[in-house]
Amino acid sequence: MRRAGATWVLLLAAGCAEPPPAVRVTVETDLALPAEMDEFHVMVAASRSEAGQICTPTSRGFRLSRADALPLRLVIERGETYTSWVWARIEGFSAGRRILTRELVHPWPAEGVAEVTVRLERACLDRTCAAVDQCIEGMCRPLQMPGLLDDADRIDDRPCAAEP
Amino acid sequence: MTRRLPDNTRLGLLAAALCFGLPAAQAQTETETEARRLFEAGVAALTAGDAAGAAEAFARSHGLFPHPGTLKNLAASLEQADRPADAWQAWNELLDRYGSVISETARSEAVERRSVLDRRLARVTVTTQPPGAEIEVDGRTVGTTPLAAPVRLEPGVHAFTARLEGRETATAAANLAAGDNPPVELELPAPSAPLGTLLVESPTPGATAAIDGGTPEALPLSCELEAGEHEVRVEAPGYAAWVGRVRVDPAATARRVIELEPESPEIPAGVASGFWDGPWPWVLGGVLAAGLAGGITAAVLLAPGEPAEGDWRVRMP
Repeated sequence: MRRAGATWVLLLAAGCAEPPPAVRVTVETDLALPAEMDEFHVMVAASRSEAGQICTPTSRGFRLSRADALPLRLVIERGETYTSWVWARIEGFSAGRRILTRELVHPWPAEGVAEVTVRLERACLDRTCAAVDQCIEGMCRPLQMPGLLDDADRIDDRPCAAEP
Repeated sequence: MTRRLPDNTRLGLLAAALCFGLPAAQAQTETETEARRLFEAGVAALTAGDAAGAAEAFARSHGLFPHPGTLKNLAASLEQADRPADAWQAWNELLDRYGSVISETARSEAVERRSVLDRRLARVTVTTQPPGAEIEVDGRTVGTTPLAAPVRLEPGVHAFTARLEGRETATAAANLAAGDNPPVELELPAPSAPLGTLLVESPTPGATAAIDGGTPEALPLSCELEAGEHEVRVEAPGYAAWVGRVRVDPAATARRVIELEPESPEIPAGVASGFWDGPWPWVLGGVLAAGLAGGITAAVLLAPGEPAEGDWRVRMP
């Protein structure tokens, strides 16, 4: 019993030094940059419940001024409260006009880094899907959390962190 | 403006030439030969009553071959040409550079002439913030701040310019009278950041935009901003706000057309309360607690991962 307790103490102490679990989203495209897409925005949030109770999303825009600006990697690290899943919306723009949107919901890995790839595809450029769907590989597929940002009651006032 | 010299002055200058002039035997190089030729031209001009021409010749000669005799003749010529500020400068330089080697008579004369001229001039103390700037007065460089002495200037309007690499040039003008002793302080501001234009438009009726947390303004909104990234928030009643960062490049226009999405109707209250009244919060809480404990255990027991690398990193709360 005493040995087990000591092991837990050691494990917990060691665990504090480890990097938190993270989801790494790699954004890529088959569009020509920057001619066909010159900017994309990312909005991320995490939920503290399975059903979806998220922190106020944080967002950032990325200027795609060079042909090799993509792929680009976004690392979202898990915190202490919003530990259910992570949500991200990636929007591609051309001359200020939104041309592509992708959303993803991914559970936090127990440890380490979970890899997710989001491809902003030419096949979805002119594809219009219903509000509860999104275009993936040219096909309309159901969103995992449709309308997540539409219900203010599901969005906590607490902001989803700045960059660490 | 040139005045004919009295005979005694011309004799004095010629004597100065004899005392301080360039001996032919010492003029060994082409430069020295040219300096001597100019010196003799200056003496000839002075003898002919052309003080301005003489000053020009003596100045060029002194530039090629500095010599106290040439400088004394230059000072006297400038004074005769009614250029008191330049004459003061020449007499002053004669004392500074050659005061210890010229005769007592020549030194006394230089001190007297400098004092007489000083009463006809304004003395301007020029300072800059920061120091180290090159100062020009009426287009002529007079030194680098901090200047060793006030700048002597003739009465009238004068333009002051201060230049320093990495700073914006500062200028000032002053209307001076004889005996004035005004300070001229020039501040060289750091260069302002390059500017670009941000143009925000929206087809959404009533949309407003706030830049970097500023006051929302009606669209279309065009404003000149420092180059770099700026936060833009676009909102309209009944629509979900859009928040994003826009990069503004120097001397370019960044145009963004933001189409807001209508806010969806709220989920009926029963849906939410039903969820929280049921067993699911406890079930999920248990699952989360077990998952968290398991995650911690796994994170410790399994091989630790390296910090994830990325172009953008955020930490969730």
